[in-house]
Amino acid sequence: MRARAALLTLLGAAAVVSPAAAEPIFLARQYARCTTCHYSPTGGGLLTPYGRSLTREELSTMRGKSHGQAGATGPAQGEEGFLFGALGDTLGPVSVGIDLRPGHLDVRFPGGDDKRDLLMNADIAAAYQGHRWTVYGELGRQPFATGTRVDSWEHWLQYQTAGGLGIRAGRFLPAYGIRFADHTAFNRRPLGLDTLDQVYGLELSSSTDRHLLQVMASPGRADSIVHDDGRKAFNASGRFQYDVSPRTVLVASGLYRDKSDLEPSGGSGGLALGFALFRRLTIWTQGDVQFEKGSAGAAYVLVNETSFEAFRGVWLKVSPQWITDFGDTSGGTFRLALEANLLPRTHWNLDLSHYHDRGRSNGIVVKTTLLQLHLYL
Amino acid sequence: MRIKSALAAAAVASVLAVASAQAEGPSAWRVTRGDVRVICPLTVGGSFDARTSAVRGTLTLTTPSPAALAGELAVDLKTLDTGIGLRDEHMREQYLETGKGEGFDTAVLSEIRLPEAGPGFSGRTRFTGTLLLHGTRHPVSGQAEIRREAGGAVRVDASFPVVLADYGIATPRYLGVGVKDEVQVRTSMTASPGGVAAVDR
Repeated sequence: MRARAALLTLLGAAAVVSPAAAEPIFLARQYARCTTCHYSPTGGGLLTPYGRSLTREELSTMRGKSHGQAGATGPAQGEEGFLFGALGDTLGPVSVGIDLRPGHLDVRFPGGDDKRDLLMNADIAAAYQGHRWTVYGELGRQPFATGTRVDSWEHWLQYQTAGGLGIRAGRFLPAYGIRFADHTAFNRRPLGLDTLDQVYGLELSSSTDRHLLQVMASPGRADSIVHDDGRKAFNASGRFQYDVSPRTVLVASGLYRDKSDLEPSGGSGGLALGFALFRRLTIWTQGDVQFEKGSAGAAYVLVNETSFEAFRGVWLKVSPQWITDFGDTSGGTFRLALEANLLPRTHWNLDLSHYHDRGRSNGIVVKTTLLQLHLYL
Repeated sequence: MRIKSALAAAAVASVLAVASAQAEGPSAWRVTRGDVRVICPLTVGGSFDARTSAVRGTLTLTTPSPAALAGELAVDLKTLDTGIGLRDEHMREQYLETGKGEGFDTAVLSEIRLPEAGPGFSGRTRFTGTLLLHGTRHPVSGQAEIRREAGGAVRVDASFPVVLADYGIATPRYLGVGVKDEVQVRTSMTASPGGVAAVDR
């Protein structure tokens, strides 16, 4: 029964593999902060004009000439712009992006397999930034075990002072650890940082050239508040990032969720270290301790992601991941994730991922292969 | 973009410190190895480095205590590398304007003084100098750590701030992301006895 539960868990994880757009690999290019390329301080989602520019300049194997003369501010133009720059500067200070991810998923487990073609993401996001305010919203559809759902996953309003103090309110994912692109990574989904784990909350932040502090408080997960699913409970999180150098980052995080009608109180604390030995290699490692009231003991998570740019626009990733059960360090799952990420042209991203998940106590192995075309228009 | 001047200044500071440390010995010192790192804080938080090893120069100790050095330390700004091609291009062409030639393509540190250092000095000290950057000369000051090495060589680690506006360098901004007006220059260099007090360009 336990083996079956583990198997179903793994299958469930594999079923909606849909990496977000965060790229912590860019530490190798001396980008230690999400906000250089993304509007969201927690990473992922709509790219800023600067982030769009980098996709052409640094991520793509082949690149066309930028048709527009980019200025100090304003939208990205040329092929890196919205719809490959077809609208020019019509949208003015408003940034818009469309995210489409058709993919093929192949999951193999003892006694069977599951193969399917699916549209993992079809989202549109928009943001306005001006006078130190940022307004952000997105609308999209995603497939879930219960069916396809159309919703706004993130929408928030932020104000940031010239001195780096910020306040954000709305629906967003709590800042915690390193936000890997793969939302099924063991330092995301098991810790409650999955695609539906945004909160409605208030976030205060302080940012300088050496540190970033983000503190959040919330009456509960957004979905629990909206749909009254019995899991509504107070949430709080804190994340402190210290940039040892432009290529070396330390992160300490904590997350607490109070008890709800259906779940006991719990949370996690973790440390992460990222460093880039040179401009083609980024290594991230994060360790977390997860606790839950009533459990026999803590659970532990250890995740590494090593990314290497083998050729311009060709990134290879290896990610060993380990998670234990609560109070049982001999249990849990070991994952080896391998990924090849090809970016032949601006906004075209072909990604092949393979996950080998093995239950440490029952030996059950689940192999998942995902091929996806990520179009960021 | 502001990196160039900072590099040159750091190099100069390093050389000066070395000369001071060897005051009882040879009076001329030539840079045999140098690395310059300009730390550029970003307006969105975080920072990036611009680096080069193209540091040259010779310094001569003219006054042993407090130490004063003649000669120059020069950093080739065209070799500054941030790891991003477009960023390098903007830094060199739009902000440092290295294409304008002399006075713009090289950062030069001169008139180096170590007011707290005397003959045989080793350790941490303050320094001052004049930095030529973007066609503009402006005084700089910072800290230097001087250590003696085998063979009579001296190693100097120095750092100092550079305010871009002091040199008439435009505020770097690109698609909403910019560099703050003050950058930090850090240099590590080794100088060996010998040479003449002239910039080896």
